[in-house]
Amino acid sequence: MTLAASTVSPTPEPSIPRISWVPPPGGFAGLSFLNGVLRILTLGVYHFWGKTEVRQRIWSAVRIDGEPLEYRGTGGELLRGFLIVFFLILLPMGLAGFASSLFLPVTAQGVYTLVFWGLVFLLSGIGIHRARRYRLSRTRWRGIRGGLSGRSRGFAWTYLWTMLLVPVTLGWILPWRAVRLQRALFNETSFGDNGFTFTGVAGPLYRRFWLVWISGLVLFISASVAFVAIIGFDMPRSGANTPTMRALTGGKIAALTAVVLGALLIFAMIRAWYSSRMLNYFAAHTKLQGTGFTLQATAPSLVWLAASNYLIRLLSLGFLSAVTEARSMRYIVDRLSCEGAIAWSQIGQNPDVLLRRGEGLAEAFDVDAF
Amino acid sequence: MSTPSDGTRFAGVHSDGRFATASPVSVRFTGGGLELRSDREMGSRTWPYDQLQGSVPLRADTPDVLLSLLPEGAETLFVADPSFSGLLLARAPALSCARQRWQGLKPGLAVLAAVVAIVSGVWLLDLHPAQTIARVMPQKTRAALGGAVVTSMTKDRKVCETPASKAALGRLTERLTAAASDKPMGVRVVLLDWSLVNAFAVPGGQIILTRGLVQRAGASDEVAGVLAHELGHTLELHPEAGIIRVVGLSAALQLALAGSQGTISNIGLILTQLRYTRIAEREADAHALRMLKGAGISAKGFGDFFERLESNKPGEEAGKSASELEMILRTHPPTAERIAMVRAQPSYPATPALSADDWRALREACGPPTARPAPSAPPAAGPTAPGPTASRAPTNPTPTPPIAVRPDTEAGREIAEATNALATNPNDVAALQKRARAYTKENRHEQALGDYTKASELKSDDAALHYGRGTALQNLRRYEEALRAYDEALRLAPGHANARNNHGNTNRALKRYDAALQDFDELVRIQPDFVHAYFNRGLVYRDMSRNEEAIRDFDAALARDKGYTAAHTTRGMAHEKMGVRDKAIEDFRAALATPQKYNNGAWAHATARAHLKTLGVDVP
Repeated sequence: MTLAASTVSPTPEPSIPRISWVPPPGGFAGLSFLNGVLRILTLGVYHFWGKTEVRQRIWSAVRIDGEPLEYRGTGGELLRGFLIVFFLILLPMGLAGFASSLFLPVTAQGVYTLVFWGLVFLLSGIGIHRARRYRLSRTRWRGIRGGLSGRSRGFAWTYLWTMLLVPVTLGWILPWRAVRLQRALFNETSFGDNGFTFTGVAGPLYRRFWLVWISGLVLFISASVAFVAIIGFDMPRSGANTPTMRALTGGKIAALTAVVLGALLIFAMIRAWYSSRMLNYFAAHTKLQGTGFTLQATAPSLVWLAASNYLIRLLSLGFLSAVTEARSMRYIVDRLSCEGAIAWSQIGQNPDVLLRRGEGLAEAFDVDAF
Repeated sequence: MSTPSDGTRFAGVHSDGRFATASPVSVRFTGGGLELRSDREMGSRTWPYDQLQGSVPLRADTPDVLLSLLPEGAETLFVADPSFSGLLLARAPALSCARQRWQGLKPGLAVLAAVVAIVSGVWLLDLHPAQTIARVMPQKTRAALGGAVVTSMTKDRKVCETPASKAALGRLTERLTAAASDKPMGVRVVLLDWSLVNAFAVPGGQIILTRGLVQRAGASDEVAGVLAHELGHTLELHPEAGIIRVVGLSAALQLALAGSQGTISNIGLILTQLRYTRIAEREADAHALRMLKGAGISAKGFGDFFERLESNKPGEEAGKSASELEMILRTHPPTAERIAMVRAQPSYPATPALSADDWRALREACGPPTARPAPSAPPAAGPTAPGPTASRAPTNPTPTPPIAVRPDTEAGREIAEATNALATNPNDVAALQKRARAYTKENRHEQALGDYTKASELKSDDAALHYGRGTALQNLRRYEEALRAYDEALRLAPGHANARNNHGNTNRALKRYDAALQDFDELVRIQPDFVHAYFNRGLVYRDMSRNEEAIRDFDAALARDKGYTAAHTTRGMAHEKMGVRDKAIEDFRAALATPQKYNNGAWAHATARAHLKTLGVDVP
């Protein structure tokens, strides 16, 4: 009997895991387009199976020591989750909102609106936690499951009250909030029966964040001044007449567009500079068996990724969204590495009970797990 | 290199699922499944083909394969050999892409079949689920729905109501509803102080009319036609059904698109609603015609109102047949189609919808009707102008409310004389023309139109009568009809300068600037000293923001008539637009120094004064 050659053999432990990306045959564009067509054909029902196949392909492209991750979720689980949330939460909330506008007095409608949005944010937080838990529980490597313990309601409450602080602090709390939520999630995340730990704090992030905040303000003021200067107003010399706006010409519209795009681009670059710092910092302070990770995200590459993904989604009317998901995952995988060895023999199977339905809330409120 | 055969052993990696470790195994295809053999304690095991599951749907060119066992097997087998997947698919075809996708498609196709069956049933049995739900909706809920709509509309607008107008509207509503249904309809009609020319049927049997509609209508029959149309919507519960349909379709689309608010779902929702809206409008039109006939009110007013709407559309839209896309995006059937439907109605005995007193009470419920501005108002730069267009048409552009005939005025005397003549000979064309001119001086354009129309029917080869008819239509803002009347005048008398001049002004009112320029170019060619041709062409250039050419024309007008007040003013406005402040001031001062001339003289002075003030110049 001949022995066919294999390019993978289990590495002796402990060793520093190699993280790599191996593109699947056929890529993602064809699959993405096919999913879109089948989704329309089946009035949306195929969406969940299509999503599952996309995840299976993306997961299997991620390799640790040459062996792929595995996604074990099913379309049926996703559909069940969505239907439960739709009929038990979305539909009643929609009908309640409609009825409130008809039957509640105006003063009560304000209170209802506050309660409504509070509930939406709370449910979004629950949705994020449960979606993450579902995906981790359906992710395996060498048969070992990932997991997320802890209570969704606890995370959702943190999600909500920290969000309420954002406008109060004019956004200054954002890095602190990000660290807080990252800690809440990662300290409960596990691979098998080994938990991750997150040791990051907010201080180092503020060294870059202040520039984002200041630049946002400066750009907003500058753009506003430029707007007024370009449009031009005729100020009255006397009398009570208000300034009148001069007519907009083609040249003025082009100039205004350039100002807006320029300001957005500059802000995007500065924000990406901060985001890359944040991602790299988070990776370096996330540990498994005491071993940290290194991520080499950079601002230009992040901007390029975000802009190109946006254009792909826009120009394809969302039909090529799977391509953008794969590109985002590849971006992380290509830049991620492990700093030390991991003893795989010390990692046993995850004892958590499996969720039987997935991501209904995340789907309904359009939030993501990662 | 030989092709792997059944006897070939593949090198693989096996994990037991208890720890994150892996050990090498060799794998061989057997009749019943994959045989895994290890040097360690595992020994030899067989994984049956029908219990295998892959990490991804497999293709023949998949370079490596990760397998586990159904249903939730933790053990995994990884074989990184490009030839393995092809051989595996031959024995376990259930792992292929096609089979896996087919499994995923089945639920969706079942849902599709169910939906097709339901929709087919609804269509074949002519069911109207939204309307059925609307009918079982309690009146309290319907009234609450309508109340919310009315509240939002009346938030910044007052309800117009006097005892007389309330009684008048009540009588009209009563007359129409009695013709619509044996049972009381429980309808409430509200008149809002809103300049919009429209009417709305809202849930709960409430109808909103606007001041703009009532005051723009030429006769009470027009308002009766619109009200009957809205009552048709109320009868069919269209407002309620529309809301139910929107909510239901929106929920269904949310479900179908898994909650995503995509562009496609929004477009689909809008297009579906537009189709139902057009069906509803046709039904309402049919009800309206029935009601009007039953109430003994002429349907002509209904048609006249559509024509009025059609003629008030911007130039490129009015009268133009719609493209395929426009047909899809319309909320109403095309106006021409509706006009044709109304005109096709056989005539029947009819009386006016409201008495003269009731009609006046309704029109004045929101205050005195505002005078319609004269044709060809220039674009506003600062205070708006009533219309500087000069023509030899006997129109007074200064807005004045219609006034009763006063026999002590010249116009009053002419009307009285002509009326006496017509009492003897109703077909006296000269008397009709004389009276029409006098009506025009009095701003009684409807009456003027009536007389010109009759006169031109009696003497169809008289260009002046068609020209007069054109000016009456132009004053009533029925621009398309005005153009047709001027075309007829020009066909009979190609050199008719006033007809050509007003033809140009009407094209300008319809924003057909190129056509207007052609008219004035022609006018300048045939009558180089016709001063208004230059002035009016200058206005067109101004509208097109071609200020230099506009100034040249105003210069030409002033060269022919230094006392042309409005030409000074409009030249000043053009200079101001170009930023030449000093020349603008000079022009405005010149306008004020010139006595008011032509029918736009008063406007010229008022505008010049206002612009000087804006420029910070003391006004004499």
